[in-house]
Amino acid sequence: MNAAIQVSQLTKTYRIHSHRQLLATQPFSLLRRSPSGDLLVALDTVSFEIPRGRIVGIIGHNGSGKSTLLKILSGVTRQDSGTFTCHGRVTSLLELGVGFETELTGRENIYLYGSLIGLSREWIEEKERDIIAFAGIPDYIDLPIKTYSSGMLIRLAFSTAIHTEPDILLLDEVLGVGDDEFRHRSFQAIQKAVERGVTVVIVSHGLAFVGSFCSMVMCLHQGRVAAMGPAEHVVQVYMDLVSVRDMIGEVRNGNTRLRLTQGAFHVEHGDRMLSVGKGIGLNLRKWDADFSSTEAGVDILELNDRTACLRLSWGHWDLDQIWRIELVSPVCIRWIIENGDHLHEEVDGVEIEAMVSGTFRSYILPEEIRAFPETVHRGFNMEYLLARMKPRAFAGVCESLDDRHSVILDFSDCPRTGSTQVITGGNLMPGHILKRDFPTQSGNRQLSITIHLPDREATTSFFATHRHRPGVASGSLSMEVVDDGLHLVWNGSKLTCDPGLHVVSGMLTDEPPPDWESITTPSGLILRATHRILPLVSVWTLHGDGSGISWEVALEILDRIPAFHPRVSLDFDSPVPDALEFSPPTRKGRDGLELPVDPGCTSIPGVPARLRLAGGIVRTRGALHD
Amino acid sequence: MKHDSSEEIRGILAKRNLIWNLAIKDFKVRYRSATLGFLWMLLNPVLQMIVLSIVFSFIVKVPVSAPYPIFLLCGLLPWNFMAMTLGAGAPSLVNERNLVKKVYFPREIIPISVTAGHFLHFLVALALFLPFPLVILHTWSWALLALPIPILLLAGFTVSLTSLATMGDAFFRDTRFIVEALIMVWFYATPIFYPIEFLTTFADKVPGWIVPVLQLIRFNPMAGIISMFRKILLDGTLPSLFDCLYVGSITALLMIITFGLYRRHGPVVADHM
Repeated sequence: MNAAIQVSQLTKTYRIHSHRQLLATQPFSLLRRSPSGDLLVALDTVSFEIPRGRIVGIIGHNGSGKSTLLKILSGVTRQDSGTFTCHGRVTSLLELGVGFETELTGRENIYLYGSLIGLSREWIEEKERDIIAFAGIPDYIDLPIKTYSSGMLIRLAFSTAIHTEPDILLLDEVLGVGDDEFRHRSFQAIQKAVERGVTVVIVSHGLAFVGSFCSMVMCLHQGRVAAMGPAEHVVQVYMDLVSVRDMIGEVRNGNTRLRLTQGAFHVEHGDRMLSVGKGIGLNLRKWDADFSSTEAGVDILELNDRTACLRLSWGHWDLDQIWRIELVSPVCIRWIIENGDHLHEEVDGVEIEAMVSGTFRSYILPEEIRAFPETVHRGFNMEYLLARMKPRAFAGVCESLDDRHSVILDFSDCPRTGSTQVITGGNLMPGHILKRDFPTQSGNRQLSITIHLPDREATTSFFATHRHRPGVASGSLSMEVVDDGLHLVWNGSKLTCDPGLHVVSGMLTDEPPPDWESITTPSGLILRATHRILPLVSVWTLHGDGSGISWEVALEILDRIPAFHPRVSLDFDSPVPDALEFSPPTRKGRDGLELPVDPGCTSIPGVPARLRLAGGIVRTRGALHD
Repeated sequence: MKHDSSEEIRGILAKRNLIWNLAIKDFKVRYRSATLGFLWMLLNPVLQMIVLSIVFSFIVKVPVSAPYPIFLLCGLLPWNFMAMTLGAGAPSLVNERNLVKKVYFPREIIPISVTAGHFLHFLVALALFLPFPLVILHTWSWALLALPIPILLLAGFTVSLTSLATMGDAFFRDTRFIVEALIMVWFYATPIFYPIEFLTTFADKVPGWIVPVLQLIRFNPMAGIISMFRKILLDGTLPSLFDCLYVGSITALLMIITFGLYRRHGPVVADHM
């Protein structure tokens, strides 16, 4: 027999009771064959067959019957009619959390779980060590699991489930939880199991995940199988279902239309769909897991031509958000998100997620445009491509390096904490997911996001507005913060090479660039560079006029630094242009030119301390040639 | 998936390991953070015995054939087993919804494991109590060999009734409160602190309408079970055949009803959690 699971005409109907059943009103319904109540058809004559040794993904909207199907296959509930056969032993992990007893320890729960799914004590004893090692929580294993975090619970549950060596493994959204490292190991474990002939069925909302990880995908819609087969085809069917049938409203301006769906929106610009997949929406981060806005209930508070106001509520948590979406112009969308009180306190963060069309092959920074590396285009790898982009408040994508037609997500009104990532949409869905994380602890109750649509003018003005390098100038010569370094710039191009003008601690050979912060004062520009490793802030005071650029650097030492011999260094790729004149004069140092430092700053009087390190003037005699 | 009854019973027996683990778990969870731990299981009936003994042998004099504490415990131990199992068992399926909603196993296992845990405790208490009537009343006799009959009937009756209440509670959460109220009334309607003959002694002192109610107590299966224990332990004689047959058939009937209900509703009970 080559099929692992055969399902034929499976039907399951739930009765919805508006209030809890009362003995007084329905005392004998337990004995009757057909109790009263409204009917909800969760599965409607579903038939399919899953071959052995496959990883099958099940996708579909909420309420499409995915979870019901897994519950029936695992035996937790029974169908009303139809039949199914599972060949071999079935182990299931349903919903978040598992069949664990909170008062018992992790170890005791392994045994309890083992006996629940019918394993002998000897078997579990043999596997116990592997289970604990895989879960990676040896220090906690003898503590009651009520002390565990949800991530630890999932680790333990998944580890127990996979080590029971089932023939069929049913997973419901479980792998969305946990850190990347554990997720990665889980995937490997699943793949190994599949090589041994185990059949895995995974319910998931993650289209990219399903596409890259599953050899076969099934899409359920309103209790029926909408499509089943290769991922590419099925995901397309699912996306069509999302974008058309789930539309709850529309906002227009000129040739641009926003299609509002359940907890997300799609952008149609001219005759092109700019968004793909789930469109533009967000995830709530809680317990190390993502909960998509597409899982929320949506009420339309206000809807007219240009604007929509929606309330999203995550009913089972009692959390809510208000979204205001406005098409300010045909090429500009304004999206304001306001967290409800409860949400603000309960959730660790909000993650904006925009899935944009695959024709956009480059990403965009305020200063430049770069092509995505090949690796991001292929397969499932959650690469933190732009980890270094943390201080930048925006990210965008464009279609090619020459063409500046782009979609830009401008987060400039948002708090600067958080990080931006770009992730591939998976090989079957040509597109990129732009993500930006906002921790809710940092007080950003309201997020305001501007989305600029492909328009040369909008892009150019975006560049002009955001291409702001803090710095001062004297004629064509300027001193500016470029690419995380303080550089000398002549006519817009860098004279100095990385890391530019910087404080050398004498401690670290390769210190990462500091975080820059600029303050404009009447006397000039103050730049504060917070060092990432040493407890040190260098404060640069710059002033530029016709006579040159005067600079001064002081150090704020926050904590004791052993063997600290600060110097100021200036690096050039090519020979230092003759026309550049330093005062006091520089000398050649270990890493480039060295600027003389104050004699008093080698002995530090105790911490915290603030001391002047060096200062001088730089000017040009005539023009420089580049 | 086709299930026939024998297959289902075999399924339950195959999960002995689970019944045991769940029973152990119940006790661990209940007594883990209590300093006296398991001792509470013995202290409670002793306290109850002392209080009831003082009330009914000194304040209200209930005429009994044996020393009152021995007479009392003979009824109190089986009663406590039944009442505690029923009380703890009724909400058990709902309390274990974490397990029920996540994993498949025969749902009968939950009330069976609750019963098993309390049954073990009952056996320990009974073993500790047994020497007293035998030594003090000299009731050593062959009749003692019949002791497993009331014990098994009691266990069968308790497990069926508890399972029934458990299933009922999964569908209507009011069941647990009805069960609590029932246990309270039932305690007085069972000859625990009085002998069953006591009922006839005051039949002329109460209003006429109460007499048939008092007669109903004779049909209380717990009355039959306790009278079987008393016959064997206090009188050293065999229990009456009527009691055995009557309690036996009530238990069998309950078992069939309960089993039928679990067959029909057990597989979908998770939908009601």
